Order: sequence, then structure tokens, then C-alpha cells
Amino acid sequence: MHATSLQDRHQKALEYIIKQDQGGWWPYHPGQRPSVEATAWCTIALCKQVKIGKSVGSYLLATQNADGGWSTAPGIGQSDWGTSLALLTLGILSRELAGGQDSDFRKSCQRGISLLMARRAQLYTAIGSVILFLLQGPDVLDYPRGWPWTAGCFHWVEPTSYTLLALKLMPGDQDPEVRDAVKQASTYLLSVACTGGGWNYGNNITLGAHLPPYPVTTAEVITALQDWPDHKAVKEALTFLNSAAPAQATIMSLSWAILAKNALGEDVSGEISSLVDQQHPDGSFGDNLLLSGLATCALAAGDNRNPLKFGAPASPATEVNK
Amino acid sequence: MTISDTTKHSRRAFLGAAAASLTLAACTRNDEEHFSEAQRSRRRQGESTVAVVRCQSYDRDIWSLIKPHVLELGLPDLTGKHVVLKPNMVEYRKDKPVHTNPAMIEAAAQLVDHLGAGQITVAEGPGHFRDTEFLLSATGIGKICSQLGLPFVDLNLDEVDLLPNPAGLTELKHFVLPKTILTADAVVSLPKMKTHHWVGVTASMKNLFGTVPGRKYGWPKNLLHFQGIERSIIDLVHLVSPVFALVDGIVAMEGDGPINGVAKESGIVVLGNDLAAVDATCARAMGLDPKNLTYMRMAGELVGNIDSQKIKVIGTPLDEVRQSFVMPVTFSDPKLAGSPGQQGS
Repeated sequence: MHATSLQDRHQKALEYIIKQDQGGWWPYHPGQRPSVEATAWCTIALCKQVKIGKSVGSYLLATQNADGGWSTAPGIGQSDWGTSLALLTLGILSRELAGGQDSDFRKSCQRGISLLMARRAQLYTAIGSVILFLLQGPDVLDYPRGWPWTAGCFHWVEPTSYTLLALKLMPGDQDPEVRDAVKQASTYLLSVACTGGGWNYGNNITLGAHLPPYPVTTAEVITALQDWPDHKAVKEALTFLNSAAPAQATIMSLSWAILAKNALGEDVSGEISSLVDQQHPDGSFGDNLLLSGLATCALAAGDNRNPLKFGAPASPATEVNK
Repeated sequence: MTISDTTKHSRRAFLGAAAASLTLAACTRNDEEHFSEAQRSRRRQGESTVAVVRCQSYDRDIWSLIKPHVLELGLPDLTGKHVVLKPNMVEYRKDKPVHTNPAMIEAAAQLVDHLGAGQITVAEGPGHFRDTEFLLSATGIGKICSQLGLPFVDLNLDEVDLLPNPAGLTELKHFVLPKTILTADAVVSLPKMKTHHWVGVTASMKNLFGTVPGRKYGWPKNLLHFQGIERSIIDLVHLVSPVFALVDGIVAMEGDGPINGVAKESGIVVLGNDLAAVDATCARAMGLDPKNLTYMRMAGELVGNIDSQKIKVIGTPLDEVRQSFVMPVTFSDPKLAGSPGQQGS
């Protein structure tokens, strides 16, 4: 696709998302109540818009739960996996709006990170942990593990990937404890790669059966492990993604494939063409704002401005009138 | 006593205490004890009627086959009501009967239309795949919805509210459930009849896991496994309270269901308004005694009838359609059934 045409498509997508801004938040579908996930992807797509970025920052700080996390929507139960996406958003805003964030913003991020550290999956019960500690020493409890969807449950590929992205893209130095958690979570992901490459939701083998990978989860993990490009599992996953993505040319699948492949420096022109073919005249990708936000991030990646790429330098923030 | 002796002694004492705690914990997790009056009070009373309809192919006019039995089943009047049809679309595997066949959705739409439905919505919250657009395309469910002009709602991303769970079996004080389910006048469960490696059989009651939104609970909805699959099933039956179920047993699944099993041509459709009775009948059609399945026994106490003496089967006699389904390995080797919390559906 011609660069100018891609930029035009990207601009139209941005304008659509801006029109759907409800004052620092977005719902999954127009007319509904807030969704932290839709807010995250729409904001990341718009991360260079100073005014909206500040508005989202204020909204997220105001809706942070007392425990430091976020729920899928304000008031809907305990903090859940949306915490990782809220932190990912704040981290990217912090990077893009450098100098524009105050101490409340940083404290909010720190509280969120503390909750995530406390919510890593515990594969042993409290009693089991004590027994193992007594029998084998403290090192046995330093094992590969990621994050659950909801507190106290098993770890899975997607919440672990979202959390890794949030922690790896958070500006500033990581605490040693966070560094260890990132390493163990990365190791966990690498350990559950499917036979032949790629990832599914997290069970590569169940009851002796080798389970197949999915394109979306594979791309999410590749994006989270883009700093492991030479690892065999990542290379095999990329091969799987290249073979599987054309057969699953949905907005979600294509968007994640673009974000993942671009993060590894791969050509994404074919996926971009397929994605823009699904863009509506109003700039949207249908009435699902999660998908419109994600696809807009992917269009930015196609223009070498991947918001999820590690080490991506902040470019000058801009202002677009609503 | 040396320091080493002290350590050994403490460790031994601790291990003993830990073992005692674990034994006690195991004893208190007996699912068949201590149902309260409040829990029992929600059980359906009286006898139940279930239709077993022979249907060898999805190419048949399924609605015309089930229509003669509708009156005797006592299905509810749905005049002017908003009815949500809830198929099973947990995942897609090429050449595996994981999901409800689209032909069943068409038959269900014709049935609820016959009962007077004013508005029909198809809704599902897939349990494994986040990419619902792909699932709708691959399973053919999106196509049938378009052809019939029925809107589809992805329950994983729907608006949600907290619903209190009084007298629930799980420890959850509330369930977060989609508004489409909470505001519907009637929900109809449209499952695929399959073996299930954790609970034995999945049909109209287990199908309700798909009403729980991923936006809160994730993919898979792992909290339900941690709360106990059986207990979660019973809680959801009471909270969602489907008015009836229409089970796709035309091509069912045996072996390592509900995802990785193999097709079993059982050639039946099962229909009724007591979900416990419908699922118990499915189990019998699969060659199983429902009383050997924990959640079916619980359903017999808390939902409706599973005793064959209390279930009137109309249509095709069960003896004419009963087959012997291959069960998952978890049922021949119970050691393998110990970790559902660490697995998907």
C-alpha cells in the first residue's frame, strides 16, 4: 500500500476514535458504558494527542480501585485483568507525554504495579508453598509463572502477555522484583509454546493431547517477547503466524499480526492491505471500539510507528481538535 | 536436642498438621452434603417431560420434526417477548463437532417464533477464542444469523452488571453477567451434546458457562473452574434460568470432549423445559447413568428431575437411540481429573 494512502487511512481511523471519545474513556460499543479495554486500545491509538491523553490519564486515575487495580468497568467487581491494560495505557502515555505527568500519575502506576506483583499466579497452595520451602529451600518458590485473568486463579497466555507489555513499556528503571517477575513470566510463556510453534490460551498439552495454537494469542505473545527474537519458540511462532494469519483474516487477527511482526522488524504490507480492506467509510472497523482501537494501532505500526515496539522513541506529541 | 533435631521435629509436626488439614479440607468439599433449604427451594417440582426426536442429518427440516411435540412439552408462551438463543461456540476445530450446528439455531428460531417471540437475539460468549468474528465465520453461525436476520451479541464484550448470588453453591457473592442475558425475557439453551473430560457430559446446563463475560473473567473463564465446575453450573442455571433447552445431538462428540473429542453420529435432538431432565436424558442417550455424574446428582437435588421415573420421554423411545459413548480418559483414570483449574473448558 502506498505510504500516503496508509497515512490517510490511519488519519481517518484516528478521527473516528476521537469522535467516540466520551471524555477520557470509550465503551466496547457506542452508546454503552465504559470499558477499560476499549479505553486502552483507543488511547494507545491516540497516544500522541496531548489533550486526550491527559483526559484519559485523569479518568484512569479517578477509576483506579483502592487496591491499585482496575475493573473491566467502574464498579463491576474486584480489580481484574483490565489492570494490565490500564497500566499499559498509562505507561505509553507517560512515554509519549513526557514531562506532562505529575506525581499522582507516577504513584498510580506504582500502585498498579504493586497489585500486579501481588497477583502473580500461585501454583502452590499456601500450605504447599511452606512445605516446599521447608523441604527444598527458598529457590523452589522462584518458578516460572505469569498472571491470571482474575485474582487467585491459574496463569494464562493473554493476561501474562498484556502484563509483560505493561511492565516492559513502563518508562523508568524496573525494581529488581519486577525484573525477576518479568523474567519468570517470559520463561512461563516460552514453556507453554505449542508443538510446532505458536501459542493458544495457555494449555499446549492437555491429557496427553497436543493442542493447536491460535493466531491472535501467538501474535500477542510474540509482541510481549519481542526482546527474545532469536529464541526458537519465537521464531517458530512467527513461522506459524505467517502460515495461519491469511486464513484468519479478521480485524483482531490481522491487527495483532501486524503489531507482532512489525515489532520483530518483519514486513507487514500484506496484512495492512487486508486490514484496510475492512475499514468502513467512516474510518471505523465496525462498531466494536476495541477492534477500531486495535486496528488503528496496527495502521500506525504499518507506518513504522508501532506503539507497542520496545525502545520506540517518543515522537513529538500533537493536538487534534475534536 | 540439637538445632537440627528441633528442625526435624518441627518439620514432622508441621507435615502431620498439613496432612490433617488437607484431609479435613477434602472432607468438607463433599458436594452432596449440606444443601440449605434456600438452595433446595429453587428446585422444580413435579414430573418432567422431555422430547427425544430422531434426526439423522442437519439437512432435514428440524423444526418440522420437533413441532408435533411442542404442545405436550408445555413450553412457555413467549408472546411479544425478547428471547435470547444461546448456542455453544466455545472454540472452533476443523472437522470436530465442537459447536452447535447452525441448523439448530434456525430450528430454535422457528420454535420460539411459533411460541410468539417478539424479538430474537443469538448470543454467546466463546470460552477460548477472543476472535469472535473468526468463530462466527468458521462455525457458520454468523451466516445463519445473517440469513435469518437475527442479531448476534458477543456476550464477552456486552455491557455487564453485578447479579447477587443468594443461596449459591460457589463462594461468589455476585456474578458479573451480560445485560443481554439479564434483560432478556427468556433464555433458551442450545448446546451441543458432548462428553466432557472434567464433568462427564456437557449439554444444556454446562452450556451456560458461555453466558459469563470474558471482559470480566477472561478466556478461559477460569474462575468458574476454581469455584468448582459443578457448583458453578448449578449457580448459573439458577441465575440465568433458561426457559427450555434444545440440544444438538445429531452429530455429538465422544472421547476427549468438549473440544478434542471425535464425532459421534447419535442422530437425536433433545428438548424440554427442565434442564436437569434434559441433560439426564442426554446422558442416558449416551449410555451413561446421570447419577454417576456429580453435577447431575446435584442438579437432581437442586434443579429438577434426573430420576427416569420422574421423566416422561416422548417422541422416540430412549432404547431406540441409546448408544455407548467413549468417555474421556479422566473417567477411566481419575488421577488425570485432578487439575481442571489449570485447564481450559
